[in-house]
Amino acid sequence: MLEIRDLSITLQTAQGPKKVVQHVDFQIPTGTTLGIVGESGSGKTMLCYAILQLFRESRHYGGDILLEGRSLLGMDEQQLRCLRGNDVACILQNPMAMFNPIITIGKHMVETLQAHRSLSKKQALHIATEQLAFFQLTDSRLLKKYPHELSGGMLQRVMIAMAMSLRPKLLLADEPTTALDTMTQLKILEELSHCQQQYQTTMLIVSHDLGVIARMADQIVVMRRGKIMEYGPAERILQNPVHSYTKALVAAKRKDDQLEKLVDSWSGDTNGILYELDTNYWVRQEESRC
Amino acid sequence: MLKIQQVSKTYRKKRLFGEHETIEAVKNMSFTLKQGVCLAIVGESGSGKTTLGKLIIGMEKPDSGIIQFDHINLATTCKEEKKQLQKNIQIVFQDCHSAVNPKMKIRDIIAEPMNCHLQLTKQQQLEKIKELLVQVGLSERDAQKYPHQLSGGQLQRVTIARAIATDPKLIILDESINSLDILVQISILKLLKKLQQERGFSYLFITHDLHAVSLFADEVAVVDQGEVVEFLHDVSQIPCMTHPISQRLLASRLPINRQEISSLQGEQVS
Repeated sequence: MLEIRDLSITLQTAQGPKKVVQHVDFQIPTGTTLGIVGESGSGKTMLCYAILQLFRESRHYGGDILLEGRSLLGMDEQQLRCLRGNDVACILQNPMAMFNPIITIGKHMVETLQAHRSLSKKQALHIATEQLAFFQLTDSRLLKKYPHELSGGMLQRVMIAMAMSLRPKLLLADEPTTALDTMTQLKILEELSHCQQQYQTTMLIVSHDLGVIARMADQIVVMRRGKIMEYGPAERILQNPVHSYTKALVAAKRKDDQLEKLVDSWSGDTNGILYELDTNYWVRQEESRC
Repeated sequence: MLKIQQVSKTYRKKRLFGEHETIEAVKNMSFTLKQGVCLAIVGESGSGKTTLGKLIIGMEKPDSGIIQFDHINLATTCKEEKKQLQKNIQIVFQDCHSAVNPKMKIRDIIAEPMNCHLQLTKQQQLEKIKELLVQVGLSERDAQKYPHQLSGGQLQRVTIARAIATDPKLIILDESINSLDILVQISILKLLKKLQQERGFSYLFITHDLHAVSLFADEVAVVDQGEVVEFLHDVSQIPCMTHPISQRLLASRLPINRQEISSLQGEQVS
């Protein structure tokens, strides 16, 4: 479904070019979820922007991104506009900042629907109501409300509803629950998996919280400083992490006696080569430390 | 050391038309915190955790009830005592970027509380700043930088350095580490734990992350709608919490173990 082939992203900054993503490779089969976990500055969000092909003027791409066999890097603006929303939708981190504060929720939804489908306002409103109901947002006044009247969790649900209203094949969720408290987080995650089951959506979830990834993902990519540290099936990575960075991450989520040792033993070295440990299981080689 | 008795705080929400709405942020809350102990305050957003922190450092005044710190009542302090309190109670906020003055160098940010509360010569102060920076895992060179030159995690360490600069007795951590990367969280918790053992700091650890609580805290208070609904003297009892709110918090944890996930999912469905 989505295939990232040897992708590198170089940013033009005032200090000269900066490599933010280096030689990243992964595939997401249709209907499954891939989780990217990594600390801030590891290039997770850059990958999302790359898949959406946003800000493409200021970035230099190497490698390729294939969505159902079509290369995204070669597309022109017109084709991309068609693609975004219809095939690829995106949920971002801070729902409060993503809505226009002077436009009602209903207007947001209608606008989105009409931009991609030829619908009358009435039809669009009907779809919007239906879509919101799917996410248990049944309050009839909701469509007339302004973003500031809703809580962060509600807005995030509206955002998911909006993203899903066009039935995209691929949903990118960039830190979908970071700004929310744990109980709301759980609700949002449940709704995302519910919606994946319903529509067979392929998902890419980005988070710094391994807990979120563990709950959602079938495959996990662990990133640091723009490079893949470990990539493989979720089950195996969570049970038996190989790379010491992943080990430290997993230990931090458990109550592990060796936690401090593991955190300290992580050398910070990211220059090793990525080798295939097993079929579809990649690990970056580390310098052996005596 | 810190004693909270029957403290209440109500906010009035102003409406353009109609009645004023009142919100009881903290309702009849009572607990004590002993020297050298870390008490975690856990609850959902809107449960009054932050208000509690603000009441203790004196940013807000309680409507009723008594807050005592070292047998001094916060409401009836003289000027001298107030200064002493300010030295002894420090707070680290969630959003480090808005907690520092962007025009000040890191050096000056950390020096500010020292200027007010400690009588040090310039040279001594500089030495202490360097020492503090190294203690929180930054380098001495960072003293010359401005806040925007540091990352969120680094800046949060600066605010922690500022909080411990005056050798306080109590530090309030208001969701201070939630926004950081998990490995950074662990290293900061480690640092705070070390300071607790070395200097006998007490902490009021306000958070909604039960995992961090189990790593760091000694005692736990679960709050809901401004009331303490469950109090544990031993942090290892967390899995056995009985109050419905505590159980909801427990259920919202995100374990990484697959078996644990499926067993939790079962509970959530039922």
